[in-house]
Amino acid sequence: MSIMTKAQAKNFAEMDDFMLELCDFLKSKNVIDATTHRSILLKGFSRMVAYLQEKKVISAKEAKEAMEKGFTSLVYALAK
Amino acid sequence: MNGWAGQRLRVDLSSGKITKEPLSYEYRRKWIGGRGFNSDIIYNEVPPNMDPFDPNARVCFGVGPVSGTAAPSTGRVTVTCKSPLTGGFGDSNMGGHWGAELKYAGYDQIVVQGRAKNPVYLWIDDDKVEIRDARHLWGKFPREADQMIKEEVGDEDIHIVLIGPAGENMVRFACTFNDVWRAAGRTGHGGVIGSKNLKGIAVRGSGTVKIANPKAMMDVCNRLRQTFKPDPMKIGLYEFGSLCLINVANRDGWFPWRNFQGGAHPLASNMAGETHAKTVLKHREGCFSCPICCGRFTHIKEGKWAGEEFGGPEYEHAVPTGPRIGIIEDANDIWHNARLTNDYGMDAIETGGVISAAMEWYEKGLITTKETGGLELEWGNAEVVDKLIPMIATRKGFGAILAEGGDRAADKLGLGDKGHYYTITTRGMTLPGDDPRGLGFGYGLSFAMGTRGGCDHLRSLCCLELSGALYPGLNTKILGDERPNKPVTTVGKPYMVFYEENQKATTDCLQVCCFTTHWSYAVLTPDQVEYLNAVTGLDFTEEEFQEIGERVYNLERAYWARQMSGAREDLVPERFTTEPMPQGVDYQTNVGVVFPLSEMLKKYYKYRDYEPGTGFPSERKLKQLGLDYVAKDLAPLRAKYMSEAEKKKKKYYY
Amino acid sequence: MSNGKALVYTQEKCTGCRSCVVGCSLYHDGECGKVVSRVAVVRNERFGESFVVGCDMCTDAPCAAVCPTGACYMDTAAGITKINADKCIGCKECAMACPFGVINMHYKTGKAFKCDLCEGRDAGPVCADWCPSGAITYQSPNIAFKAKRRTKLMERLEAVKAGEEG
Repeated sequence: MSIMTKAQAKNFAEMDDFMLELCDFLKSKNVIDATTHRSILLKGFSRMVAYLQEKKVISAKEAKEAMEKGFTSLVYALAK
Repeated sequence: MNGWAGQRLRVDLSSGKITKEPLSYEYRRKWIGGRGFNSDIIYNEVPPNMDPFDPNARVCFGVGPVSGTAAPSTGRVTVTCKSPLTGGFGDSNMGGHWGAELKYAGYDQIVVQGRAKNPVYLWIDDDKVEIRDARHLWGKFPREADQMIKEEVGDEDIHIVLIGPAGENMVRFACTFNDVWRAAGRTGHGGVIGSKNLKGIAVRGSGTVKIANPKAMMDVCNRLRQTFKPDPMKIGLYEFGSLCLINVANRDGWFPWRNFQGGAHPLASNMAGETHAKTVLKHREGCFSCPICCGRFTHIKEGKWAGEEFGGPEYEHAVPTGPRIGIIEDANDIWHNARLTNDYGMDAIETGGVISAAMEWYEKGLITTKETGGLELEWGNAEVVDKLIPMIATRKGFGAILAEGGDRAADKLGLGDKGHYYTITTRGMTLPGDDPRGLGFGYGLSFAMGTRGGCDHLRSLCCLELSGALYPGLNTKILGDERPNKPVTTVGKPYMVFYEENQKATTDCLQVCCFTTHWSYAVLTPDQVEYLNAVTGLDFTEEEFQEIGERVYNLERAYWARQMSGAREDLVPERFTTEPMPQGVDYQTNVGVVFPLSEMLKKYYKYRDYEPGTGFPSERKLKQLGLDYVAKDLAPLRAKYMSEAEKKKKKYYY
Repeated sequence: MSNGKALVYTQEKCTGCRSCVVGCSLYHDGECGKVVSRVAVVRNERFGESFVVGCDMCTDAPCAAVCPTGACYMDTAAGITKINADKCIGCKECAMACPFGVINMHYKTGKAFKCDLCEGRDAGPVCADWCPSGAITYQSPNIAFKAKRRTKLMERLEAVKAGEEG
C-alpha cells in the first residue's frame, strides 16, 4: 500500500533517528492512532512492523524484509 | 500473595517505632517494586528544601515481585535517598543475596527515617524486627562488622547491609555493601545512613516467594538458563569479570586516563580481566540466582600489598582507583586502592573522581602543597593515594575538603569555573569510566539526562551501542536500524537512549540485574513480562512494562525539576564537547573525536516530551502517566525556571 | 548410580550464586526459597569462599539405615535414597544421621525431604542443568574422576616444566 511518495521515503531513509518522525507521519495519515503511536514508541520497531502487517499496509514478505534490513526497507515498501 | 511480600517495613530511629504498611494492588501495579517503590516514597516524603542529612530524611531499600525467585539474577536491591552529593534525587543498586533474604523475611521495602541517639543496627528475623546497639561496631570496616554481627546473632548464614567509616563520617559519597563486598556505590546514601546513626541492617528470612504459575515459571526460567549458556557476554563476564572491558575500552578510546585527558594507554592490559585472572583472581562469584556470575574475589600475591584480599573489583571500581588517577604500571596498586574504598565504604567512582580532579588542579597550578597539607598530588603517586583515601573517609586534613565531593571542594578552595572544569561532573556527580568520545554517543546523551545526577552509565546502560554488535539484528528489532550498534555515531541514539532508559527503569522495579537485559541481551523485555506474569499471576503487557519505566523516570526527573534543575544542567562535562580525543595507542579508533551532545538533545527531549525551555516533563506527559499531582507541583515552577535562566543564568551543582 | 550418572560436585568452581537452590525449590515445590530446596550453598563472603552441599548418593546410606518406618529407602534402580512422605513420621533421625546435612524438614508438613535427582526430568537434575560454572554436573563419576586425574597431572607436569626452564 502506498502511503508516501518515493521522495518522502528517501527523506526518511536518510534520517539519523527516524522513529518519532515516522510514527508522527503514520498518525497524520491515519494509518495508526494515538494508542498505537504510543505502543510503537514504547515497544520498538518490531511493533511498528507487526502492526503494519496486521493491517495489511505491508505484506508478510515486506514485513520480513523490514525486520532483516531495517527501516529503509520499510519506508520504500510504504512508498510502493 | 504471589510474587510480592505485600508490605513495607517502616523504621523510625528517633522514636524506635516499627510499622508494617500493607501495599495495595493498585500501588503494586502502578510502581511494581524496587526502584519504583523507592522513587515514590522519596518524591512524596523528602521535599526540595530538606537537607539530605536531616533526621526526617528517608532512605529506602527496595526489592521487587520477582526478587528471590528463579528468574535470572533476582538478588538486587535499590537504595534511594536525597543525595548529599548532588542535593537531588539519588539512588544506587547492589547485587549479592541480601535482597532475596529480605524477600524471604517477608518485606518488599524498608523505609528508614529519624535518627538514633547512639549507633544502632537493625536485626530483621522474619516478622521480628529489633533495633540493637551498634556502638561496638562503629568505626569498623564492613568485613569486621559482618563477622561481629554474625557471631552476636549466632548464625553465619544471615545477610547484612553495612556502611563503613566513610558513611559514619557522612562523606558525601559514602556507600553501602551487602554480603561485605557487593556495593550500592553511588550518590552518597552511605552518609545518609550514617547520619541516622545506623550501622547496618541484618536479615534472616525463612519464607518463600509464592509463584502463581509454577509450570509457566519453570518453562521461562529454564528457557532463559539455556539461552545464557552459549551467550557471548555471559562467557566474557564469567571468565574475566567486568574487567573484560579493559582491552576493548583501550582500543576504542574510552579508557579513562588521567581524569579523561586521554582515552587509551599502552599499559592498559596490566589491569585487564585476562591479566587479573592469571595473577590475582582467587574466586569467581555470583549474585543470587545469576546465570552469569561476573563477580570477582581478588587476592594480591606479590609486592608491597601482598596478602590483601577483597571482593571485586568491577571495571567501574578499578578504573577510577587506577588509570583515572594515573596509576597503571603496577596493577597491585590499583587493586589495593580498590580494597581501600571497599573497607572504608566509599563510592570508588567518586573517590577516584575527586582525587583526579585534585591531581589536575595540582598539575595546572590551581592548588599547591599549601592547600593539600604537604601532599604531592602528582599523577600516579600511589603512595599519596594510599594516604589520601583513608583521609577522605575519616575527613582528615585535605581529605575533609575532598569528602565534600568535587564541586563543593572546588568552591571551598575558591577555584571558580576553572576548578569546576576539572571535576568532570553533571549535577554534581562525576563520570564513571566511560569517556563519551569513545563509549559512546548514546552513553554520553544519557550522562547529560540521567535522573540520579547525570554522569551515570546505569540510567540507560544503552549497551545496544556496545554489546549490541554481538547480537546481530537486535538493534534492528528494537530501533529499526543496525547502524546504532557502534558507539561513535549519533545515528539512532536519541531513540536508543529513550528505549533503554525505560527498559532499565522497569528492570530496576522488578529488581533483577540489568546485566541480563543490557550487556547480555539473553533476556529481552517480552521474557521479563513472561516471568513477571508467571510469578504474579497478572497480565502485564510489554507496553505497560515500558510505561512503568517511563513513569518512574519522569517522577525522578520531576524531583530535579521541583528543585529548579532542568535544561541548564543537561550537559556533559565540557572536556568531552570541546577537547578532541588525543592518541594514546596506535590502534586507538576514536582519535580526534569530540562528543556532539547538542545534535541529539533536542530529539531526545521530543521522545521524552520534555518542555523545550525548562526541560521539565510536560504537563501532558505527566498526566498520561498518572502523575497529575506531580504536574500540579511543577505548574508554578515553569515560569520561575525560565525567569531565573534569563536573570541569573543560574546553574545548579548541588 | 543412575544410568551410570550421579551428581558430581567441583567445589573450586562454585560461585555461590544459588541458581541450584532456587531452581530446585521451584521445580519440586512450585515456590522459590532456600527452605524448600534439596541442595544448599554455604558461603564465607568475607573470604570469597562458596560451596555447594548436595546429596552424595551414598551407596550404604545412613539416612535409610536409621529410618524407623522405611520411609527413607534406597531405590537401587534410581541410584539414590528417596523419602516416601506418606510413611514419614517426622522423627528427624535421617536429617541427623546424614553426614553432610542435606536432609531438611519441610515447613509445611514437618516431614523429611531430600534430593531425588529430579527423577523423570528429561534434561536431568535442575541444579546441574542450571549451574553456570560447572560446579555441579550430572555425569558418570568415574569419567569425572578420570578427567580430574588428567587435569591434576597436567598441572603438575606444567609446574615441573616451568621449574626446569626457570
